[in-house]
Amino acid sequence: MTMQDTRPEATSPPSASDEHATASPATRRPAPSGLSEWITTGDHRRIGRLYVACALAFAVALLVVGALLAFERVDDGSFDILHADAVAQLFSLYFLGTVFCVVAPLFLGLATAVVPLQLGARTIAFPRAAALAFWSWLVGTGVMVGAYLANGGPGGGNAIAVDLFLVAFGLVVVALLLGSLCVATTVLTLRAPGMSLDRVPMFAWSMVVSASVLLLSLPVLVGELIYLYLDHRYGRQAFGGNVGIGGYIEWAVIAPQLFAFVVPALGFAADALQTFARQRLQKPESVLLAIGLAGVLGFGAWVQPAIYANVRHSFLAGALAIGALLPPLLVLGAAALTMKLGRPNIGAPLLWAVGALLLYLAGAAAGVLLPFTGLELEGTVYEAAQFNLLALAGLLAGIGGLLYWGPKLWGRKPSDVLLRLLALGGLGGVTLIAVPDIILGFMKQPVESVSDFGVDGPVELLNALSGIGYVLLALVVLGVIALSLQGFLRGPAAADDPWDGATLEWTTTSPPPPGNFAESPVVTSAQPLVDIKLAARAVE
Amino acid sequence: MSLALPPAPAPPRPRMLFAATALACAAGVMLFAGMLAVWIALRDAAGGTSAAWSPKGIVLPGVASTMMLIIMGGASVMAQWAVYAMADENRRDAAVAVTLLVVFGIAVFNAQAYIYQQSGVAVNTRYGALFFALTGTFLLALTAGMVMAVIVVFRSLGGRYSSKRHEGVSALALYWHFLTVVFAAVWFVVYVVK
Repeated sequence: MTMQDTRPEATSPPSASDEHATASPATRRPAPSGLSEWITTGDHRRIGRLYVACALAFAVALLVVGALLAFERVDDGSFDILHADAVAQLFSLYFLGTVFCVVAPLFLGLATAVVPLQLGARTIAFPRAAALAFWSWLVGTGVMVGAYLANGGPGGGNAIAVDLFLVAFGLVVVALLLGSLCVATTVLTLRAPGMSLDRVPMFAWSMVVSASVLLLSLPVLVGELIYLYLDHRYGRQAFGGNVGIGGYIEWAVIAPQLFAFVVPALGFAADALQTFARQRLQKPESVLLAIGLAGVLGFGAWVQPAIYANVRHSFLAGALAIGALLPPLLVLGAAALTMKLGRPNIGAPLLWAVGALLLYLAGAAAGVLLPFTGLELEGTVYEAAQFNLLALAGLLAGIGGLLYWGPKLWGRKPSDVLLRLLALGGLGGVTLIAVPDIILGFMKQPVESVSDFGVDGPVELLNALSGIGYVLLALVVLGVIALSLQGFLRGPAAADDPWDGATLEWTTTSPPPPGNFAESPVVTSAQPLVDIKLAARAVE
Repeated sequence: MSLALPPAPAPPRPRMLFAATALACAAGVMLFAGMLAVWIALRDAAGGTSAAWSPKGIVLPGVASTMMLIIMGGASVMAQWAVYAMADENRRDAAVAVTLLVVFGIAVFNAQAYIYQQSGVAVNTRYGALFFALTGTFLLALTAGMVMAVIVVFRSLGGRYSSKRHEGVSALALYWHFLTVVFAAVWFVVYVVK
């Protein structure tokens, strides 16, 4: 198999003919093209785009699942849309899928494509491993969905499919860990000369923070999956068989662990706000600290209700939930100051970034109430609301990142006006999903249930509104996909620096050449491109 | 036209492999820490004593498990010897040390197989599922270390390392130190505390 990549330690950009220059005519093989070129690629920008495309497709599918579940809850007296046996599986698929098949790969894809460019690196560290991570994740996700379809998710009735689910989910997690390892190693070892860690762009910093926390927390999940598999496959004595599985893996998709997946939203927002404010980011040390703090608070492997029943109501859990408010507040503060001092340009990525930041803040705020036992919010749809606020903040940030860095990756630019409208639609959709669930949570409507709530009040209206929110958001994501396909493939050519950016990725051509940069850049501040522009103006 | 920054001097070769190995080891430590934590939690839930936790009639061979620990300690010494030898440009000694790593790995496999055979632990019990999962995961990690060692031996013999560039050997040594530390924890929890 031929891998198309650039070795990180290469001192000069490879030319198209390098690969076969020394091969004899007998051993020379034609370079792959078309589909095989994408399948065998080791180019970090292609791998990243594959991640993003698949994650957005999964997002649409999962939002449809969310809508079905919400509309099924409108009438809690009967099953109108779904079969009773499918409901628990679909809830599980929605929660696990949104995190492991949408948010995590979306950010990992953006990071794989963009972080080397932000760092002035020729490629990602271990490009073959990055490609392996993507394909393993894709295969794992496909098999996992297949296992769900065969009634094999947590609590599923088909024992063989449950075993298959455990193996596939394990593969998905390991693949994401491998991808995170490549990104973290890139940030730690392949930065341009002069780029100390405090000069790393905020998205790259948020990715190394997120990747580090995931590398320290998700192996615990892998270990539990190994236990669960062996126990379920042979004896079903230790973990409660198929019914017990959900309890041992749910910690990976609830706060505080959920923060670890969504931290890159803060990094993207800080980068985009700086660019569109046309002003150096104010209080950058506070933003670095905020992102680091968000990562530390996102280490959730210790919050395992299946093992320690009251851990979510402990004093520490409450204190950390309050602490989780700090990072988005600090980033918002720095962003507001930057916007105030700058000359803001309201581009579509900015709106997606602001929307994601506000939802992140709302999700963190919602989490403050959960540890209080007196409110009895645990086990209600309030938890689903907090999940949606945080996870869908990640989705919106990921889409914003695609629109922000897309012109650099494709060399073309979609229509900004329609994407601004879609940003507002996305924010509205998530609000419609989450706000009714927050109200219903206080009314004690149970989560992961669609029948016999025994709840009084406007339950039907609120559940219907939530369902409409899912539909609206699914349409918005479909709209983004359509506009991106049209704009990035057939749109007008994008300039090398289409947003008047401040970081290294905007110094190279759109799309970048093989090896990313014609010459290795030297960095003297956190905004190297601003330095160049100021120097050019001084010369003039 | 692209904006250009002043060209930089040739950068030093990045220590990617060592950094990635360190991150992978940290992840591996968390993997085993999590598995041991679940083991301890379930053991506590079962009564907190080895009599209540392990099935009746099961005797884990103490000598074999202690031998495994001693072998792993020896493997760590071999790994570090390989690093020092390569730093001295002594490729032969480095290759011998890394080859011994593989031999030690096989010895650990052998001892673990002996324990599996002699202990009579059944996988379809609560204890058995956890026992085989935990020790099997360690064997998997050990296999990765042995594969790395074989690659390093061939690269060493092929002249790919020098006294100034032997990152692969350093990364291998780090990984084997990780394996030794992890096995010490597994040994203490599974074979000593029981």
